[in-house]
Parts: sequence; C-alpha cells; structure tokens
Amino acid sequence: MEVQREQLDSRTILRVSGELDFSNVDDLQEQIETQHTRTVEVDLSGLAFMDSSGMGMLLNVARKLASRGQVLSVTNIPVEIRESMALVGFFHILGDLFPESRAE
Amino acid sequence: MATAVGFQSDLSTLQDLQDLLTPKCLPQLEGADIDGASIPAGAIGGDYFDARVARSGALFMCMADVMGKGLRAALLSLSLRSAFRSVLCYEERHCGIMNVLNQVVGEELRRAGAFATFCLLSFEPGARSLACTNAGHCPPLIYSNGHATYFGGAGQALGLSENCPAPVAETARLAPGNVVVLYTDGLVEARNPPGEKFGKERLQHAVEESVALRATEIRDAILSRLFSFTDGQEQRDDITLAVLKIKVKEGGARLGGSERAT
Repeated sequence: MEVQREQLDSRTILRVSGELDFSNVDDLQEQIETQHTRTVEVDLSGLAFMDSSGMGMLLNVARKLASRGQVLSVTNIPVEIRESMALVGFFHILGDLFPESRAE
Repeated sequence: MATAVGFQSDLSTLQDLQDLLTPKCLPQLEGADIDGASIPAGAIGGDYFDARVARSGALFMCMADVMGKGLRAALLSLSLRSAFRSVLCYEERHCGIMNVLNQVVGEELRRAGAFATFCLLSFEPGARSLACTNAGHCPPLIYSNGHATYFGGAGQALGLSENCPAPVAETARLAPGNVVVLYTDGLVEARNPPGEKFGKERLQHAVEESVALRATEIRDAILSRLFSFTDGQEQRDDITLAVLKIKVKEGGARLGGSERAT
C-alpha cells in the first residue's frame, strides 16, 4: 500500500493505492488520524483490494474524526470494493458517518 | 526461548479456539441432510458456522464472517455463537433473534471496533419452508426448479450501527431434491494464479452439477471445483460453506418428521 498526501486549505487528501488489508490497516489509520484539517479525504481510486479490516478501520476512524469535529470523506471507491461495502450495509450509515462520501 | 514457547502456546490456543468454533456434530433431520466445511487462510479467522434444531423441530443454520483475524476475531465469533445458541432456546422468530444479536453482539462488536456479517436460515421440515434473514452476508444459493439462484435481501451487518432495524426475513417453499448453500465471501473471492475470482457463477454451476448428490458430496464437489480453479494459489481469506439438501423420499421415509435432536 502507498499513500500520497496533498494538503489544501481545510482539506487533506490521502490517495491510497495498492492493497489494504489486516496487515496494514493500522498504518493507514494512523496517517488519517494524524491529519488535523477540517476534512480528511481518503481517495481510493488506486486501491486494488480492501478486506473487511479496511472497511472496519474506515468506520472507526470516521467515528473518531467526527468526535473531534472533523469529517472523513471516502471518495473514488473502485466498483468491486464498493460492491463489497454495499453488501455489508456500509452505505446505510453513510449519512451519519460519511456526509461527504458518495455511494455512486 | 521463552518467546518461542509463548508463541507456540498462542498458536495452540488459536487452534483450540478454531476447534471450538467448528461444530462437532451437525444435527440430522429426517427430511434433510446438512454438512459444512471451513478452510482457514491463516491460523484462525473470523468465519463461523452453526446448525441447531430448535424446540419446535425447525432446523436453524447460521453463518457469520467477523471482521479481522486472530484471537480477537475468534473471541467475537465465540461470543456470537453463545448469543445465537442462547437466544434460540427461547426465540425462534427471525426478527426476535436478530434484535437480540444486534443488541448484545452488536455492542461487543462496536466496542471492539469490528462488525460481523451474519446470515440466518431456518427450515421447517413439516412444511418444508425456508426463511432467510441476511445481515450484510453473501446471499445464500438456492437450487430449485432446475436452477441455482441467489436468495435473501441485504441488511446491515451486526455491529455497524446501534439502532439498526432487523432485516426482513424472506421465505421460500422447498421441495425434495432442493439444495441451499451458505458460504462466506472467501469462497467466491478465491483467486486462481492469474488473479481471477472463483465468482458466483462458478459456484452456481458447481451446485447445478452436483444437486443429485448428498449434502456432503455436494460440499466436496464445490470444494473440488474450487481447488481445481485456484490451482494451489494461496488464499488470503477463510473459506467456509454449508450445504442443506432436502432429501428425496426414499421407500416410505417420513418427510414431515420434526423430531428434536437437541
């Protein structure tokens, strides 16, 4: 997994590529949590694989950021990964936790 | 040396837990036979399968995939199993079971920062009726009328949110010879050396080709097709499946039996 960081005014964009799974979720979680902009965008367009640990981490980190008054925005989710997330019911809670994320 | 011993005992604890999570003997019904298998990718994963006969005589099967791996996933799976088996002692309505699991296990999962997909099936042998409630799990496969199709709507996985409404149960009437397959995503997402997924269509074909067999043989036929596809490629996720086969009446065997097995 590789992460490229881009800082805009009130938004940090983390572009994630490669594979996100049980073995490296903690790395990405730490990188997201250490951003202090109002919005942290996690751009998944380059992600080839994500397991349930990755989904769980995004949920947990979204809750944590929300409690600090920040917003996690997950964008450009590849179709296959989005389908897995949809099956689990991830997007049912989208409105609560991912106000800026889009299922489509 | 101390580290090596510690590691060894951790590993054997995990193997003990995996053993505990595997049902030792599956209930036998007069009108249906069932079998399952679980192939962990590492020492232990979060897949869990169970089958019980409830007080009414209905068969309940469930399959879950708990997020993560190792000891934490195993303990959460055990907790899910205890809750499921306990609630089944007094509640057989799907919505009642799901509400308890959402409240009790859902809270534990959230505390652990995890979630679990869960699919509940019940089969009433007298009426040969099947009910399915799916909380974010892969849709079960049903073979009837000559075709294998995916069944059961999507609900939210356990532990995702506090006030999650129980998914609505879907029902179907089964006939002798029909087959139901529960599985985890590790099965359909297993890859061959070039990186293709086994996929839902290959699973459908494997079931369609083996429906005439008994549950154990159908399970083996699916696994054999899977293994010839994956061709030795190491898999990154656990693979679990369970097969329910409605028996074809043999020489006056009573299909409507509802003898208790527990």
